[in-house]
Amino acid sequence: MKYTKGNLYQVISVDDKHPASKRLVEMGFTEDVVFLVEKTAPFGDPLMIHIRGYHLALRRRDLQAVHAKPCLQKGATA
Amino acid sequence: MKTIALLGNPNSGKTSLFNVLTGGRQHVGNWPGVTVEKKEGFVMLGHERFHLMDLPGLYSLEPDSPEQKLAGDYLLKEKPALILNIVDASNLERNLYLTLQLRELNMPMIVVLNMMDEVEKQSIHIDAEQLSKMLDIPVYAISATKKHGLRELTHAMHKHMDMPTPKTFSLACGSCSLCKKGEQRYRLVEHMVSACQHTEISQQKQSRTTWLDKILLNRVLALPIFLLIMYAIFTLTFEIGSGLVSGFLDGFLNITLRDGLSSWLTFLAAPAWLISLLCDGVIAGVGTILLFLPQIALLFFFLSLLEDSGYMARAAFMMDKIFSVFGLSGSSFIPLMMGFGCTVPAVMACRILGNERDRKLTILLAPFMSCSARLPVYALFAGVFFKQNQGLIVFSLYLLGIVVALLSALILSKTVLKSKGSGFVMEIPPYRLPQLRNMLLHTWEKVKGFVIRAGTVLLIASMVVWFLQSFSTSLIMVTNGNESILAKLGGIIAPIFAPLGFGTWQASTALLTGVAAKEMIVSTLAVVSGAGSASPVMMVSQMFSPLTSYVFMAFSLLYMPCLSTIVTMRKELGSRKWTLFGLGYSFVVAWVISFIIYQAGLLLKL
Repeated sequence: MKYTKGNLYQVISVDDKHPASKRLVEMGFTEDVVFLVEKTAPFGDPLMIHIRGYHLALRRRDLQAVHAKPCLQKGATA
Repeated sequence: MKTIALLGNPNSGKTSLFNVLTGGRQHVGNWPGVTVEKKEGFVMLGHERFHLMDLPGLYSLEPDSPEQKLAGDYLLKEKPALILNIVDASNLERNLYLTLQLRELNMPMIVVLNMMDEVEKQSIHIDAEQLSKMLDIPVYAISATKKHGLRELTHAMHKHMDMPTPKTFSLACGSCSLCKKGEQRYRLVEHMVSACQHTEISQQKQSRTTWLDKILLNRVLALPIFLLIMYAIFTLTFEIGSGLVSGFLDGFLNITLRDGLSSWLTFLAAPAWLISLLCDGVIAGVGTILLFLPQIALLFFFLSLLEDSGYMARAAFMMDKIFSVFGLSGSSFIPLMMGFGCTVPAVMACRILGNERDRKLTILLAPFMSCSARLPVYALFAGVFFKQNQGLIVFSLYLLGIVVALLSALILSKTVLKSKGSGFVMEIPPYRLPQLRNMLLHTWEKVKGFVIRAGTVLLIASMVVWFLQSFSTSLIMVTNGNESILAKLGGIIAPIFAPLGFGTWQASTALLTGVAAKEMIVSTLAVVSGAGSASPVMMVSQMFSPLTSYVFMAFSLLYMPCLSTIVTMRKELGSRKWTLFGLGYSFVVAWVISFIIYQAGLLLKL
């Protein structure tokens, strides 16, 4: 999955075999949640995500644990 | 005595509340993980004293870093009489996740909605009563920094202390291991938030954080701004600091105090050894260090500004990619940056690193970051040899420390500490206007610590150095330092430093005593010069050349960390082997790099 700055995504599932999965669920990546890719760091990685009303910095590789689909409508939680 | 435990997400204001309740002065910052150790205080409720425990912040009770484990373990083992769960009300959804986990423990508990002032500013309404009904425990709304709602809270804490344990509360699906509890909890949280939190539809104006980030985290501008901020902090610290020093304090100390005391004591016909001890030992050793208080105070003030505003976490975000090249993650940036202040808290701050290997590596690198105690050394040498471009020379030393740290990270992660691909997941807090009181308090605590150290460890050490350099091996007071005990001792280790260009007994003993505390390097030089010539400045200018003075500064920066750091490293690494490795490694690195600089300098005929 390629994430682009300024786009909204909706979580389909979190791959629980990925080492970062537990942390990601705790930080709020659960089914159906909509998140915004707010910014990319000056060197292209990590990303700054807006999720559940707060900001989270995350490497693209860690975000690979999340299966998400692009989402055009702004969800209630993002 | 009954115990109340403060628990909540990182950066939700636990320490602010702790300070307000106990009248304490614990350090508060604006980045997740300021509190790395549990802190204890007392709080009076009615006429009864209670133990209040401030625990490191955690996102979940299934933690994955040592400081989060501390909080979880504490709760399950010590069973406090009351849990005070601090919730950042401006970030309700994520915070309530931990609240639910805590609630599932069925222990006496109060939820404290903190930062209500910020919430109100954002036109968000939170129905505390409704939340209380849904969680079936009391909920109170406060603002710890504005001191709102505290009376009601303390009253409630007293009242609920002896309440029976709340009704059992568990997630609908019970405890089967198959279903996803995390997902379940968030579903419940979403339900609660939609029932308790209402945002007014009125057109919200863009928040401070949003527009500040548009500039400070702008793809193009972010790095130049970051470098500019670092450079500004550095020059302000050094220029203002040294301006104050060279002008006023130096004159006061060396002319008014030292010469005045000396002639007064001579007038009183005090014995020569006493005059020498006070003037050449105490004033020279301790006083020279106190000259650098303005710089140290400014440095800590600026670091505190970075922490409290929320910029530190963003710097970590920006640096992550660069750090990943060297086998580190952006999370290491915060402890390393703190290392510019003092290595001891820097080593302790490494606990925010979830990954054991990252933590170990960052602890080993922290001593290479040039701490404030090295400033006196630079100021003395650069002041003598590089008057014209003092700032540039000192800046190059800071840079040298950073480069050595990064290259060491690369070398160590390819050899003894192989990377297992650590991640970087870090909350970025909103920008907050730093509270002047908090910053001044933090600066004052550091300056106080520094003065206390000067008055105790450095005072005694300076007196010992004075004794060793004023007496010969047959305990006769000598006028020529070259016949002293110290000269003999220094002479033994001097050959180690000869290839680096400063194989004198004075330089060797200064480096030796510098392990006790880095400022001792300057103290020792001041004491050693005291008996013979006039000032450390004169002795240094005779004994060093511009090249060897630079090599000496580089060596002072890189070789073994000070004693307090070594003790902290031993504790945090939990291994004597790794501590010894760190010490040996830094000594070898310092020697090799100094050797290269010296030989290169000779070749270039500097």
